[in-house]
Amino acid sequence: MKKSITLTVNGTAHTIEVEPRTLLVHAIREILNLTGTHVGCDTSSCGACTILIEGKSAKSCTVLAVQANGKSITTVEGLATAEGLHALQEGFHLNHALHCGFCTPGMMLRAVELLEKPQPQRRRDPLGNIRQPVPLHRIQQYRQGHSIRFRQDGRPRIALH
Amino acid sequence: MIECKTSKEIGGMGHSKKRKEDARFIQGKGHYVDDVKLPGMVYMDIVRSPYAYAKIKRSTPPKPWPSLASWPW
Repeated sequence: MKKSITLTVNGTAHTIEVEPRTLLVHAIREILNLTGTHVGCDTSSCGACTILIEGKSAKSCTVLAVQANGKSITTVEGLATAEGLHALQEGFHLNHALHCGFCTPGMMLRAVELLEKPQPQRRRDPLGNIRQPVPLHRIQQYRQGHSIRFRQDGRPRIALH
Repeated sequence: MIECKTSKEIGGMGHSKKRKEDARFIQGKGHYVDDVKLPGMVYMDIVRSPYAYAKIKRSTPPKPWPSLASWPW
């Protein structure tokens, strides 16, 4: 028994038929063919499937597609605009904050929400993403809204948190 | 000590390298194994024996398997 739901993904409304048990991540990946959202652990531990539902980050492998009915969703494919890449995408690239990039979409979408919070709250916020051994300080430097500072010899000053 | 650093225009030695592959990864355009879709593609499950040392006399596929491509025995 399939249910008809409407999802607004990256600004475009889609009406799709899903089984009640279909996970949101599978609806996004397999029905809408937006494979930028990844399934890392399937147990809501790793955060690779993180998306924004109404601007709030959520691990889409723990949300049923029917729960997101009528909601507005942002995935990694919706970060860039016609004007160019999102500042976070640019920042991840410039700061070498990714290796294989599998966890990166989730990292960036979580960071989008994180950076909208006021500073003190942001500092205490747990990462919520498990990653490959990418230099964490690079991700954190970027996610804490730091611009990379340079020492006098031109090399970046790396602060380990 | 000799400083091995090429000029900024040339890049290379002494400069951090910008990765070419980042562009697709940060836009969700990477192509990972789970993203591959081919005609007639099937998923495989490996069913392991719960016994460390035993003879397999027969095995039967689980009933509610709707479209089983193949089963070894």
